[in-house]
Amino acid sequence: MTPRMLKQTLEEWSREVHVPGDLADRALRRRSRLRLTRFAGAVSCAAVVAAVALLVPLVVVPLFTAEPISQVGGPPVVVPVQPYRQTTPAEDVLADTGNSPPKTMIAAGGVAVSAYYTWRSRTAAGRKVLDRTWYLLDPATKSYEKTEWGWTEVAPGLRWAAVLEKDLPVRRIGIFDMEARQVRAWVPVDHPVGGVAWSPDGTRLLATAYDESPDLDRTSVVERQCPSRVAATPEDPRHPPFQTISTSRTGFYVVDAATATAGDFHAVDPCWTDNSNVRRDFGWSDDGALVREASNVWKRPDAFYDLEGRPHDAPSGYVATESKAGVSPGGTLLAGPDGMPTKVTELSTGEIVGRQQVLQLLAWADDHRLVALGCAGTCGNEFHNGLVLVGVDGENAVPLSEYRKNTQKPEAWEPVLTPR
Amino acid sequence: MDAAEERRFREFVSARAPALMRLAYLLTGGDQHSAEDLLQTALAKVITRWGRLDEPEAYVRQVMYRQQISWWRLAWRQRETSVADVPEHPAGRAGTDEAELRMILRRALARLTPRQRAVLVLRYLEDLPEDQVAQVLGCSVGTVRSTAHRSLARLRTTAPELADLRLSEVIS
Repeated sequence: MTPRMLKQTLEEWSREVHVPGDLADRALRRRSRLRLTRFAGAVSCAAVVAAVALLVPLVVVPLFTAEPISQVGGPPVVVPVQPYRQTTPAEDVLADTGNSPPKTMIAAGGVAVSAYYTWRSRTAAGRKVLDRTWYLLDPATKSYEKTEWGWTEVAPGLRWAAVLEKDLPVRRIGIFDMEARQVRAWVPVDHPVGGVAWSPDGTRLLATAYDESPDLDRTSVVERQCPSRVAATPEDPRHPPFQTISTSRTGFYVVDAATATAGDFHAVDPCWTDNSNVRRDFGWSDDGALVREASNVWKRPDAFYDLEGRPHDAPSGYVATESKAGVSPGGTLLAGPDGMPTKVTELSTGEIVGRQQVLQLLAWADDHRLVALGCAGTCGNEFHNGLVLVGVDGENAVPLSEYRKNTQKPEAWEPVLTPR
Repeated sequence: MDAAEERRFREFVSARAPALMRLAYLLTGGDQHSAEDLLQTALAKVITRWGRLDEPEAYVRQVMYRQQISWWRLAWRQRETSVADVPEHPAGRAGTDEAELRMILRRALARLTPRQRAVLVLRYLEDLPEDQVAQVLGCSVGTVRSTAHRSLARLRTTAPELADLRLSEVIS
C-alpha cells in the first residue's frame, strides 16, 4: 500500500459520480430561498428566530433527509449498484460457534449469513402476528448489528440491502448501503409491500405487495378465498384437493435499484397456485427473466410469471428442487429433500453421489460442499440444530454456528444465506 | 447578480461541475445525493460573492470541505468514537492483487468520518502540505497530523488487508 494507491483509489472512486446538468439552476434557486429567509430575519428579533428555524431545515435537512432527491424535483436517484460477480473471498470459512445468536460473521465458500432474525408472536386486534427483529451483517467489521427494520434482504455480493420499515406492509423500500450503513434512496410504492427479493445479478428487486401484514395469522379466519378444485398433477393424479389458506397478497413491483424506481404494479391472482402460507413472496427464476412463486405443497411445481404478472411456462432447463440448496453452482449436482440423511444426486442420471448426516441442505458453498442444518449430538431433537459445512460425500462436517436450543421457541434465530 | 454575472456563473458551473462533483462525492463517502446537496449549497454561497472572488473554484472547494465537516459535527458526532468498537481481524492474506486492494481501500474510506476523509483527500489526492490542509479546514497543523494518523489507523482496523499502510510511508 502506497500513497500512489491511495491517490489512485480516490481518483477511481470519484469517477463514479453522476454530474447533474442543472446544478447552476439549483444553486440559483437555493440562493433565492436563502435570501428570502435572511430578509425575514432582518425584520425583527422575533423574525430572527423564525429565520433560523427556516434556514436550518433548508441547509441541513437535505443531507440527512430520508427522501430521495427525485421526489422534490431533482434528477433521478442514482445508486451505484453493479451487477454481481462472484469473487474468491479472503477467508474460506468463518464460523461463530461461541454465540447463539451469532455475533461475528458466518460464511463458507461462496455464501454468507448476511442477516438473521429472531421472532416472537404477539396478539393484535385478537389475531396473532409474527414479529421479527433483524440483525444485519456489517461486512467491514464482520459482525452482526441489531436493526429496527421490519424486513431486510441483502443483495448478492453483500454490498447493498433492501429494507422495509416496521409494521408491514409499507409504502416505501429503502436501498441500504451495507458499508456506509445508511439508506441511499427510498423507493415509494402505491401498493404497500411486505417482502422483497433481489434478482440474481443484484440489480433489481421484486417487491411483493399485500393488503395487510403478511405475517398475520389467517389460519383462524374462516373464509374461502379461492374456489375449491381438484389439484392433481401428472406425477400424482390421486392427489386430494388442497385447501389453501387465504392471503392478502395482491401483486408485485419490479424495482430498478440503480435509479431507485419502481415500475408499474402488476396484480397476480392469489388463486393461481395452491399454497399453505399467508406470506407468499415472489422470487426470481435462476436467470432473472421471470417471476417465480415457490411451491410449498408437496409434488406441486413452482409457478412462473412474466415480469408483467402473466402466468408463464417454466424456463427451459428448469429443475424442480426439493431443497433450499437446489442445483450446484456448476449445474451438475442436485441437493435432495429435507430429512436426515440427506442426499446429493447427479442431475443428469439421478445417481446418488453422497449422503450427509444433516437435516436440510441450505446452500452450496461450492461444487463440493454445502451449508446445511445439522443437529446436535446424536440428533435426539431435530429442533436442537445449527449451521454446518458438509462435503457432498458427507465427510468433513464443520460446525459454523452454535447449536440453537429449540428453534420452535420464540427468540430463536433464523439465518438468511446470500452469495458473497 | 445581473444577467451577465449569471451567465458567467453558469459557464463556471458548466466547466467545473465534473471536478467539483467528484470532490463532493469523495467528501460524502460516495453518496450521490449528499454530494449534490453539498455542492449546491456551496454554489449558492459562492453566488453571494460572485464578482468579488479571484478564484471562485478555490472558494467552492473550501466551503465544501468546511460545510461537510460542520454538518457532520451537527449530526454525526457519535460516529467518531466508533473506532474502538471495531473488533480485531486476522492478519491480511498474502496475494491480494492491487485492484482488489483498491476496492477494499475504497470501502474502508467510505467508513471514515467526514473529517478523516477530508484530511486524506486534501493531503493525498490534492497533494497539499499539512499547513495548507490546516488552512482549508480552519484547524491547526497538529490537528491535521493527528487526524491523518487516526484515519490511516482506522483504515487498517477496518480492512486488515491494509495492515501495511503506514503513516510514515504516506507522509514522506
